[in-house]
Order: sequence, then structure tokens, then C-alpha cells
Amino acid sequence: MGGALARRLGGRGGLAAFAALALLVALLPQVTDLYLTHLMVIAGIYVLLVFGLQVVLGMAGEFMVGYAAVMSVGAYACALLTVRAHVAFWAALPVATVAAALVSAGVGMVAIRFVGHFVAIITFAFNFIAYEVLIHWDSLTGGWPGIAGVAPPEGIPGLLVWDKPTWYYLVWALIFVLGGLLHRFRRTPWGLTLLAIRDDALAAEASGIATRRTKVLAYAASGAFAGFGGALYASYLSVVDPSQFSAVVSVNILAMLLLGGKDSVLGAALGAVLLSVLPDELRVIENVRWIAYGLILVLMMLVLPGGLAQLAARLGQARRFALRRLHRAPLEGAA
Amino acid sequence: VISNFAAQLINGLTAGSIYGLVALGLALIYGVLRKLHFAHGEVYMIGAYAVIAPALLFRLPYPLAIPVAVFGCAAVGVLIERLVFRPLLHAPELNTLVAALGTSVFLQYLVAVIFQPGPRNVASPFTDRLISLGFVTTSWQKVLIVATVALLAYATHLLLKRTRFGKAIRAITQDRQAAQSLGIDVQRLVILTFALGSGMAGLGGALIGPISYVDPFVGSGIILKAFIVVLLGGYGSIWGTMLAALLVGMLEAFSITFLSISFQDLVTFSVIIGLLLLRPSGLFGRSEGELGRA
Repeated sequence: MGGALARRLGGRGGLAAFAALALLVALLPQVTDLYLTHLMVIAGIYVLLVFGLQVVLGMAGEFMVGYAAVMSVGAYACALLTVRAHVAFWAALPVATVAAALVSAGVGMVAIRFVGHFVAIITFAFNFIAYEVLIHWDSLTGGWPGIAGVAPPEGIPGLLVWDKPTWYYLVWALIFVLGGLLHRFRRTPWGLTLLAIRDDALAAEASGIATRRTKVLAYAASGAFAGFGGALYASYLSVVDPSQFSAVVSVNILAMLLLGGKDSVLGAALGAVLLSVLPDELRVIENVRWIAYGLILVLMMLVLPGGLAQLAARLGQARRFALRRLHRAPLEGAA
Repeated sequence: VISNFAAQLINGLTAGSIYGLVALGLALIYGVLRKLHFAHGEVYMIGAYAVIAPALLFRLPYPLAIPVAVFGCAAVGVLIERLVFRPLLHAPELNTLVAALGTSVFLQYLVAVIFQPGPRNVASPFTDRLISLGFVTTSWQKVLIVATVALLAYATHLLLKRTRFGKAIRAITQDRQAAQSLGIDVQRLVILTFALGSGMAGLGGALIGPISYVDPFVGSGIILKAFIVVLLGGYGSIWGTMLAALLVGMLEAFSITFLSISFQDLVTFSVIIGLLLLRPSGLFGRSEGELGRA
């Protein structure tokens, strides 16, 4: 995976750059305060979520706009299992993952019957419905206050306690493993099938690809990421409530994906880190930060429609241009 | 029982009319632009606040505040077109979607900051005046809403069918490029359509203000219903859209009576998505509608 990421980081210096990045990620909790470590755990969970959205939206091209609702399935499953049924976290985690994958596949089965961007309406409606269920079905979900006391992961007595740095290393190790797998996945026949459907569903269908079944599988896979991330999120914060899964959260995850560029695993990770830290940094007055946030989303789409990948390409162009000028300068001076 | 039934019928009719008005504007804009205008619900919300603000500031009576709301919202719509949709005309659909959602977040919290948060209500001279209709007594405001929307729907029908303007809009909806090459000023018509559609949404907000509480976040609920109404009505048919809107209004009104208010939206959305699964091109849709292809 190192090699693959290294190539993405750009040729010969790539491996060194990748090693530097890994070192930076590894050292961060040692050199910064606990608050930044905390922010990076949240950011890391969002990176995992964006990976899932990259499968269904970035690769299969389905306009899944209700991603936070799928995430809520995993989070609430984990909360209910550990708080009400006293199941251990490590046992609840796979159940939450599978539950979210199944719900997501169900949403997918409905959504694939609609064309193009009408999928966005159906999945957005799903987010709306899920939010309403979380609020009003209080006997199950706890209503507005939600469920508190979600179990932390079980440590090893005397060896491992779950403090913030441990969480940090768990989440970021998962990012490196799953990110590497996702990057590989893009080049497998399954990954290429998804890309084929995104680029031309009709041609894919004509080539013998079962587009509908494949799309539903993509929904299920992205749901698994969402459920996994949602369960980690619930356990890390130790509380779930409906406001964590409103439509704005879905929009934010969508924006993370677009900022990073739909086609790059590294970009998706960067986008998630930037946009999950941003609303926190904009915290002046509660409502004003959302005004600024909305504005930033619009500006981002206007100025950088291709996300950070486009920015990198532009910078590269500028650098080549500047280098060329630099080489030419002495000649012009001589003439 | 009968009077309760009739009362819910009127409530459903009123809510449905408002959904129809918002959905009609949305369908017009979608037709000429082929983009999902997710901030259209916020234009509706601004319409409601545009009645509240002048009433608070200048003690402007309600009937005079309505035109302020309509023209104000038309201006907001044109501004959104100019600043968000036009620069993104050729951008990938997903980018436009995020930009529209960003606009919607921006407007929601802008209004939430300007007006102190919490639900608002505005007084209309028609709210307290009652009218007796056989089994049931209702307020003039509801009669006003249903009558205004019915008239406007008919006017829109005439506008699209009988005028050069309407013909041009239908042409753009069917094929933007062909319309352009035939010398239709597409840019100008898109702006006019935004003004018209946004004015309709603003009127919807201005009419509902006096009989329902309004908060800065009402837009996200109404936009989903409006989109779903457009889909259910069979995109492209005015009367299909209006009938679908009334159906949604009725579903809501009666699910409150027979079930609980908590799951009102759940019931409505589930029934409609179920209907859409049975008839993907909408209840009244043809494969090629009056306004264009879905």
C-alpha cells in the first residue's frame, strides 16, 4: 500500500513523503495537546465515513445524500447493545456494521429505481425520516437526549487503557489499513465494475454487468463503513443523540468527499480532516458559524469544483511555469 | 365525526395548496435549469419572515406585506440564480447539489441570527374571521389560501399554454440547446422563471405565516415534500402536480387524526415512496410530459 500511496504522492520523492506522513501521524499525539488529539480522533472517524461514501458515490456514482442516517443505524445499534443489553463493545461493533449495511442496502433497493439526481431526493428523504424516528420513537432511541453511557472498547488489564491517544492510534491505524484496501479495490474487477456503471450505466448493462445488483452491493458496502464509523463515534463520545445525525451532517460528509476529490483515497482523507476541524474552528457564536459554513461550501464549489486534487494540479502547473521562467531568465538576460 | 372529518379535509386542502404552490415554482425552475434547487424551501421560509418583519418594523398591515414578500422572494431567487446556479451551470451535478445545500444552510442560519430563534406567528385580519361551510366553521385565511392557489395554478396553466413567454419556457424545458439556437434568450428566461417560481414560494410562505408557526428551518421539510410532489405528480404536468400536492396534504391531515403527530412525515413519505415504486413516472405522468421529459 505504501508504494501505491507513494505513487499518488508523486514519483521519486513519494516514498520519502509517505514515510514522513506516516511519521507525522504517528508522532502527533506525542507533540500536541489532548484537545488536538481529540479533534483528530473525530476527524479520523469522519475519514472512515468518507471512505464509505467514496464507494457508493465516488465510485458507483449514486447520489447518496442521506449518509448520516446510515451512520446513525450503526451508532444507535452500538449504543442499544452496550447500554441496554450489556453486550461488549467488540461484539457490538460487527453487529452495528452489519445492521447499517443491511439498512443501506434497503435504501439502495428503493433508490436505484429512480434516475440520476432524483436519487438525491429519495436518500435525503430517508435522512429526514430517520431523524424523525430517532426523535419520536423515544422508548427505543431515548428521544432528544438520546442514549448516554455507550461502552468504551474493552482494553487489556494492565496493558492497555482506552484514553484519547489509544483511540487516536486505533482510528488512524484503521485509516491506513482500510484506505490502502480501498485504494487497491479501485483496481480490482469489482472496483472497475463500479466505475463502469458510474461512467455509463447503459454501456455497463450492455456489457453484461448486473448494474442494479452491483449498485445495491455498493450501497451495502458503504453502509458497512458508515455503521463501523458510527459505532466507533458512539463509543468514543459515549453518547448518541439525534442532532449528531441531522441532514446537515450528511451535507458535511458529502462536502468532505468533494473537497478531497471523489477519485482519490488520500484526498478523501484530507478533505475529511479539513472539514471536520473547520466547523470547530469557526466556533464564534453557534449560529454564525453555520452561516460561515454554508458560505464556505458555496465558495468551495465555485472556486475549487475539483477539490484539493484540482488545487494540487494548479499548483503543479504554476510550479512548472515558474521553473520554465527561471530557466529562461538568464538567456533573456544575455540577449 | 363528520365535522371533524370536514375540518381535516379543509386542513389537508390548505396544506396541499401550499405544497402545490411551492412545488409548481420548483418544477418550473427544474424545467429550465435541470438542477435540483434545494434552497427553494428557504425562499418559502423567507416569504413567511418577509411578512413578519415589515409587520414588526413598520406596522405594515398584512395585505400590504404580501406583495413585499412576493417581490422580495423573487429578488432572492434571482440572486441565488446569479450567484450560485449560473456560475455552476456546467459544473458536475454533485457540485451544484452541494452548493445548493450550502446556500440552504446559509439562509437558514442567517434568518436564525437576524430573528431570534424560535417559532414566530403573524396576525392576519383573515385568521380570526370565521366562515361557516355546512358542517364546519373555518377561517377566511384558509379559504383565501385555497382560492388564491387555485387561481394561480390556472393562471400558470394559461401562461404556459397561451403566451409566447410560456411557449419559450416549454421550449427550453424540452431542449435547451435547440431553444437557444432558435434565438430564444435562454439566460433572460431562466432569470424570469427564477423570479416567478421564487415569487410563488414566497407567496406560499406569506400565506401560511398567519395560520402556522414558522421557524428558520421549515424550509428543509417543505422542499422535500415539494420535490416528492413533483415526482408523484408526474413531472411536467401542472394539474398532476396540484393533485399530488393535495394528496400529500390530505395524507398528512388524516395521519394526524388517525395516528399520531409524531410520525406524520414518516407516514407521508413512506406512502408516497411506496406509490412511486409502483408508478415510477408518477401518478399522472406520461413518458413525455407537457413540460418535458423527466
